Amino acid sequence: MGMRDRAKATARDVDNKLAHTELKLLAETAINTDELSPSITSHAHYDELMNIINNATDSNHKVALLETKINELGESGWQLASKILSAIK
Amino acid sequence: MNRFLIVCISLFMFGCSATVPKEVVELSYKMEKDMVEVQSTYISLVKQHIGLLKLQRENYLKNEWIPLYVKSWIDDGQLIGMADGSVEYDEEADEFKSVTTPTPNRQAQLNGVVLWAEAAVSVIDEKRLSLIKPLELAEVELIDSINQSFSLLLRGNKTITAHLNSIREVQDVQNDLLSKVELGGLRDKLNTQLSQLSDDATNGLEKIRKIDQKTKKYTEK
Repeated sequence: MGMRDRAKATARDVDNKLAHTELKLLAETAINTDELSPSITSHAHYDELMNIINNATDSNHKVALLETKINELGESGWQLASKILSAIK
Repeated sequence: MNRFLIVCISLFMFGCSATVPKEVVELSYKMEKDMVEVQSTYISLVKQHIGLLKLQRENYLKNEWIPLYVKSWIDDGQLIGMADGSVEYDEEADEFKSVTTPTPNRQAQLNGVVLWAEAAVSVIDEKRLSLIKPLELAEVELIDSINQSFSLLLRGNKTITAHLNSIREVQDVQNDLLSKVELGGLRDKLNTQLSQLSDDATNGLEKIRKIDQKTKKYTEK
C-alpha cells in the first residue's frame, strides 16, 4: 500500500466527510465559459467579406494612383487619357 | 474644354457623388484603438472574476479541507507514535510496528516522519490541483476566445478603415483635378444640391400624403 496510498485513503475519507460543503462550493464557483465568451463563430464569413472589401480597396488605390500618374505626366498624359476615353466612346 | 470633359467623365467613372469626410477615417481609427482598450478591460475582468473564484476554493482548502485532513492523517499515519518513538513505520512491509526496545531507532523515527510529511504534502497538492486547475484551464480558454474574437473585430475594422481611406485618396485626387480645371468645390456643390434635392423630395412626399389624407376625408363623406 505504501505511505502515500495510506495518505490518499485518508484524503478520500475527508472528501466524503466534506462532500456536501465541497459540492456547494464547486457549484458556487463554477464558471460557464460559453456564457462569458464573446462567441463570435462566423470567422469564415468575416474573411469572405474582408476579401471583397480588400479587393475594392486595392482597386481604389489603383484609381488614385492612375489619376496621380496622369496628372504627373502633364500635357502628354492628358492627351493619352483623352485618346483612351475616345476609344471607349 | 477637353480637360473638363476628361475630368467630368473620369469623376463619374470613379464615382464622385458620395461624401467621405476625413473624420470617418479618424473615427474608424479611433474605434480600433478603443477596441484594444475594451479587449484589455474584458480580459482584466475575466482574470479578476476567476481570481475571486480561485480564492474561494483556496480558502475552503486552507480553512476546511487541510485542517480536517491533517487531523485525520495524524491519526491514520500514526504521527504521534512515530514522533515519540513508540511506533516505527516499516516501508518494505508497509506496516506500523510497536517499538519494544528501550532506546528508539532515531533513523527509523526520522524516516517515518519524513515519509509521513511527504505523503501529506503530495496529497494536499493533488487536492489543490483538482480544485484550482479547472478554473485555470477555463481562464486560458476564455482569454483565448476573447483574443480571437477581438482579433477578428480589429481586422474587420482595419479593413473598413483602409477602404474608407482609399475612398478618401480617390476623392482627394479628384478634388485636385477639379481645382486644376478651376472647378474646385464642384463636388461639395453637387453633394449639397443632391442632399437638398433629397430633402425637397421628402417634404414633397409629406405634403402629398397630407393632401391625400384630406381628400380621403372628403371622398369618404
